[in-house]
Amino acid sequence: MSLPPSFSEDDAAWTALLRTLPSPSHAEPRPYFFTRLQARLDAQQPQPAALPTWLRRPVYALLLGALVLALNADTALHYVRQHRVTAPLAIDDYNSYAAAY
Amino acid sequence: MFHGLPSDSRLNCSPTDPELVAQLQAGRAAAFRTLVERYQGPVYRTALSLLRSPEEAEDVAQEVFVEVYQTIDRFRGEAALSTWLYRLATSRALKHRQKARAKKRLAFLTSLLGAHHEVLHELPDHRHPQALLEGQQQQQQLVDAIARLPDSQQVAFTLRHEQELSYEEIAAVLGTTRPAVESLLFRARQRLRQFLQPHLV
Repeated sequence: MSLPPSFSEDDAAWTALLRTLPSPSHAEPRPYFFTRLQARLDAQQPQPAALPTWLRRPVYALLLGALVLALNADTALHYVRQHRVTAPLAIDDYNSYAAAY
Repeated sequence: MFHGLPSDSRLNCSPTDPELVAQLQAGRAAAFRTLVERYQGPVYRTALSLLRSPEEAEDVAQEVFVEVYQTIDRFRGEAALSTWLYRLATSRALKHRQKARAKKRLAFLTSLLGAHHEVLHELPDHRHPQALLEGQQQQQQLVDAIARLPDSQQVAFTLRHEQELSYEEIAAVLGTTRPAVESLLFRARQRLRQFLQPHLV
């Protein structure tokens, strides 16, 4: 092995010198490189979650919770109103029944 | 395109690089396989010439293609696909090497201390006897000298003399001008002469 002799650098001489190195200039990765790459890509894919993505955001989860509570409250109010309306009717029915008796 | 490409990439039936990028951006899985098969050699060899370790070179090559797969949507085609790949390969390889050097320094410091933290006066020699043969020793000296070059000089030198890219292609990879590449190469060669001259007969 000897260095290119002249001070005026010679590309070809350096390239030739580098070709003598043990690292082969036509080296290729081991066989099945793509298969290993595919496996690495698959491993990096995010795992599917139990809940949908939008539900994992706190704001949406809170909104959903609030909606459920509101519906429950509405149902409760509706029940109370209905009870109030039907209660006097029940008394009237009783009075008319008692009068008839 | 770079001269180091495999000859099958120039066949008429295979898509050109811009076509390949368009197919990748459209989400065609077969295009990714074509891209990997076309460029795995150049990317691997670039990493190998900077790292000198087949395992680390393969790791870097895989990282490069993973990054391509994940960021191909953002590739606007301002540089050639091959330039982008060489750029990724060199930057990833240099990062890998910096990490490895940091680990090595830590291991060296640890090795100075024994099991009971006493200072060891004689460091073990792990070199294979064959490495002491003259020819191989000189080759190793050249490899070591290249590895001691500053990063930018080493990348320019490696791309020029091992990957045999043109000055313009190296300038595109490094994001600089041709005169800057010439200057890097000139300084790299000068430095190599300084490193190697005392060892040569």
